[in-house]
Amino acid sequence: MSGGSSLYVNGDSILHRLAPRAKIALALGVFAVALAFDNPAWVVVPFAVSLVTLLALGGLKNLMRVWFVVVAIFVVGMVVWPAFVPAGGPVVLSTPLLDVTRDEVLLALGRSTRFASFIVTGLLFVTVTSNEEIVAGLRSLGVPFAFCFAVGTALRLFPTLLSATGTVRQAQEARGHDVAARSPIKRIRNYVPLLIPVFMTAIRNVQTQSMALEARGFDTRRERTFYGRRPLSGRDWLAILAGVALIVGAAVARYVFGLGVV
Amino acid sequence: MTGTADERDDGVTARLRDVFFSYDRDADFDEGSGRPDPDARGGLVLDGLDLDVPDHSFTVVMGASGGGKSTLLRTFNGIIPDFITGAFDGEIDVVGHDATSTRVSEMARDVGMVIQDYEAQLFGTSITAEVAFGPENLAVPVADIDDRIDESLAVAGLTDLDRDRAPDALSGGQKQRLVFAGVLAMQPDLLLLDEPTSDLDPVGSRETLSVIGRLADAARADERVGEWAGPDSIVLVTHKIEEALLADHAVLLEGGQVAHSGAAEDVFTDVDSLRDSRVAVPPLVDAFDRLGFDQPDLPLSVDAAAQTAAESDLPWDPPATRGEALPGAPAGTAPDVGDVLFELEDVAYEYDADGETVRAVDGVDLTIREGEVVAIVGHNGSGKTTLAKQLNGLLDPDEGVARWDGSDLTDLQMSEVGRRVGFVFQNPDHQIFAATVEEEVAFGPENFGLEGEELDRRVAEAIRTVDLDGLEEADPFNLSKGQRQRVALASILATDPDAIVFDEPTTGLDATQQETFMDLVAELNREQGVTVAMVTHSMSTVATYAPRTVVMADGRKVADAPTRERFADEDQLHQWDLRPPQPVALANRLAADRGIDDALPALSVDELVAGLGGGETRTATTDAAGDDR
Amino acid sequence: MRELITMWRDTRMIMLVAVIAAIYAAVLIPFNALTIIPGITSIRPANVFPVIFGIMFGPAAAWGSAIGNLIGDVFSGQLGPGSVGGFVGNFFFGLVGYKLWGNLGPLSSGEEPRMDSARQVVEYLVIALTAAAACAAIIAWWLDVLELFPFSVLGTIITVNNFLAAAVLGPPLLYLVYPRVKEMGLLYPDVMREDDLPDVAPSRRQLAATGIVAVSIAWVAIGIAISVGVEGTQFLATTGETFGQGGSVTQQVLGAVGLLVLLGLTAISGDSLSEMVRR
Repeated sequence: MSGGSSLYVNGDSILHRLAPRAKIALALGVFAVALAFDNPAWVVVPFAVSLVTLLALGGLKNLMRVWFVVVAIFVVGMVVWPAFVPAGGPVVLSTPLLDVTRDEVLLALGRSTRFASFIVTGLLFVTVTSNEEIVAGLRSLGVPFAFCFAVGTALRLFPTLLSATGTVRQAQEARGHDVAARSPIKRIRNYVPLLIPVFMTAIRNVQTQSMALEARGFDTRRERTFYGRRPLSGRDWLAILAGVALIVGAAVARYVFGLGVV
Repeated sequence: MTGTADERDDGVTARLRDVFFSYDRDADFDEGSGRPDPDARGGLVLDGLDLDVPDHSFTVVMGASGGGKSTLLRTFNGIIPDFITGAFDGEIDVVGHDATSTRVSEMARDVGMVIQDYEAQLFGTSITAEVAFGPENLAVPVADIDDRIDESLAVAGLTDLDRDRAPDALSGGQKQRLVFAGVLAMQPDLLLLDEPTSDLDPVGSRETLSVIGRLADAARADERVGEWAGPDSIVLVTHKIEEALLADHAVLLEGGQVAHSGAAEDVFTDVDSLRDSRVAVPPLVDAFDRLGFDQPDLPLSVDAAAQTAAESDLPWDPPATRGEALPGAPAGTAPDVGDVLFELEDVAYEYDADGETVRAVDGVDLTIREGEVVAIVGHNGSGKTTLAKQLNGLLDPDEGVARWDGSDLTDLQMSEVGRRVGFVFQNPDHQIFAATVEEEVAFGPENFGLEGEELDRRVAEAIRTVDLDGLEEADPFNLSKGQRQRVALASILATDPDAIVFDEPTTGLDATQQETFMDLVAELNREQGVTVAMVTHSMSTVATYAPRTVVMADGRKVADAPTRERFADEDQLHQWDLRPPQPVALANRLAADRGIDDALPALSVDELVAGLGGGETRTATTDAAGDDR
Repeated sequence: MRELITMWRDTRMIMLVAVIAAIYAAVLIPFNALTIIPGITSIRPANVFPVIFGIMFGPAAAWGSAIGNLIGDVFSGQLGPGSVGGFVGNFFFGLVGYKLWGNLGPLSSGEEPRMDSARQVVEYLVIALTAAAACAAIIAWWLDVLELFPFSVLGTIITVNNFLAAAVLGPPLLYLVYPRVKEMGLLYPDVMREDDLPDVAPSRRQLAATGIVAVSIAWVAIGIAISVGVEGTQFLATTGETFGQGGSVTQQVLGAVGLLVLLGLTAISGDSLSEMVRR
């Protein structure tokens, strides 16, 4: 349904009011912390900070949408990682097939937590950053206009096409089409009647859209102005500084002082 | 730079001379004589067209579907020949530019364009971004853009909206007005409008028309719209007469040339010219023409018609009165009504939008019997489409029971219901996928287990019924919108359903295509007894084809009555944002003027003519209606 | 390679990028044919799009797939450092189609991709496998670099998922949509100006295309071999000890080399569809 697809939660918090660039810097800072350390006791900090902030800013609904992914990544990471990281410390789990050591468990836990912090921090970012700000953020980082325009237009078209996808599904269902099938190949193939209408409806419009675009003066070879760019405020600078400090601090702590390792 | 109208001295905003165009690149215009080569493969859409658009004018261009109206409009801002390449010849001068050799993005400084499909014209992630987009492209200084946004949102009547909102959360009418705002912010001298309301519901259309009306007044009076002078001239392409009547100058296209032009009132009362150009004759003009009135006396509005009727002492004999047995719909639909087929009992349906629960259908009871034709009306968001999807179990009710032929739909599989209840969606493109019309039509019945000769027979019959024989092997994507809608209908008919549910089947079709489609539906009902439930915005479709109307508002059923009775109470209709078609409105007015309290209105031009003392009827559908009476 | 930049001059190509991105994202999220590991991996019908779009829309498909995947991340709440790998991986997912079609020497049919002969289907399948592998290798490598997920697990899963969807759905979809897209004048050779299209000699085109096939498939194969132990027999119990961090470093270096070689091959590559369409 229209508007229901965006994860942005309207609000007036300090985070909401930051310039897109400042939000990006902060997110990068948190990402850096989660990336630098292996020890779960350290990685859990950015995870917890993002999680609490997310919940405080009304992001529970968004979290509900991805919690399953977070849990799945955690579980699968815990199963898979021990096989790929160096062993060390006492054996904590012994099975006929293999022994799992303490270090393997800690590293697996650390990496799963890292993945989870990435997701929760990214979720926090899109919860406080509207689509428009994401595009403005790209633009302010010096990404060329044509590219930013394509991203913005794709973001604008996405909900429309998502609802078209739902309608196509219903229209074919009403004609007795059912994607369920026993054989996996047949099951994949059953998507043909669903994919083609979605694709053709969208692509049919490209000529009209391009025409409308040029009629609005769009021309990437020409000078244009940019409305709504705002200078960074003191608060934004503070946030950028904090982001940089997190990146540098995490790197120094990890690689100079050797902290947060297993 | 080019000047505004007042700085140019020829008094003409656009001048076209000898314009030829074909979408086929290889089409040839015979050199020298200036005549096109008659053997060229591509048809000539514009065939030596000449046209002047004066300053401070509002011109409407009308003509048959595929007659080159939109093509013509696209030559004004260089889309043809700069963007759409084909075979082109001729001279086009627009606001001081040679439009045949200027880039579209350059023409955009002086020429603005709004087309039918608003979704294809919105590019911004917020209202502000959308309106600022054009001025940014023209490198308007940022300091000036603020004012332009304020001003154009005011003209478009969108000042109440939160400007950070994403366009996709707006209604259709709001989206189209946002497109207007985006174009007006570029302050064009010439404004081109290509069927700007064809995809909108009646409320959206009215909102958009009032914007156009404001701009037209400004252009005509050379008045300022806020700080900006407004467009000098407007050119509108439309197939809706109520829209065309906003213009002061009308042009009829035929065979790629201007067949007729003049003052709008003269052109739209010239019945013969309109018929020659295959433009629908306005209903009241048609009625009074058939009553024998001369062209200068043919009325375009209900007021004028009521006055003419009074001055000429015409009688008014209503087709029916309250309490009297009601004649059916003018199309003769629903001749026999049988047992209960659809039965909704206290049905409710909710969905989640932006974190809020919307009760789209709220405690609706509805019974539809075999052989009925029922219209479901109401403005956008009233829950009518959601209601329709309960009828065949596409959506299961959250509360209450939905039954089909006595069985609870939640217990039935789509493989059982779908075969007997067809559902035709608003946009045929949401279902068409196969390589040929034949394969497309066969898809449904195949899913329901038909095969072999029986399948072939059903498919052939369905294609014949919708009048697409000869196109079995055609790629459905290359057909016109009206034909594609008929492919969708055929794909439903091939399963031989007992009932069909339609969701706005005629949106986006022009008047002729709408009539063809609805006549087909009426025939299925009359001759095969197919039960029809249709969600629609078109009040003239309701009047002509549906003897019974269900009105939805805020998810509730607020009315369920014979259409003729419902249409007798216009004040009540207005409260639901519904407006009756002109013949109905005139009939109601005549009854009121003459103090006939229990009168029920005419639903068609034929009934109107008969009530006003004219005799004969002429169309096939009305003959059928005649039998009914 | 130039066309990846020059296409941004053309309004229609830019619009195609946006529409491709939106379709990809809008179908990626709701359509899920088979779930393999809930929440982590499943066969998504949308994964056919980058490959067939690549063949029809050329450079617009590369950018469109990359952006579409990014938007999928934004709307599904999975935006993060991993998205960088998703962006680059999907860029190549969309790029491979037009770089390879017609350039595979004896494997190529030399015809437009109408999918009306077995030979074309074979050519298509090679392209689908290459595209799937290139995309998988890049994404799995990046997530391994970030130490989020081991290469072998993800490399295998993504290759298989991408390839299955693209292989099963590609031929029928191309059969149905290629002629229609051509009719609408939206094939990239019809949209882009001739000067903006790559102009590369056939021998060099073929060399680059063959290289892209070899590198993509080899990268996935070697990468998986490295992380499960070269002999492949020591899986699970001893991989950690045998390779440990060392295996990971080898993996990361291999990936960096693989990506650079892919970029290099892209730089010298050309396309064939523009010649076929003009012929």
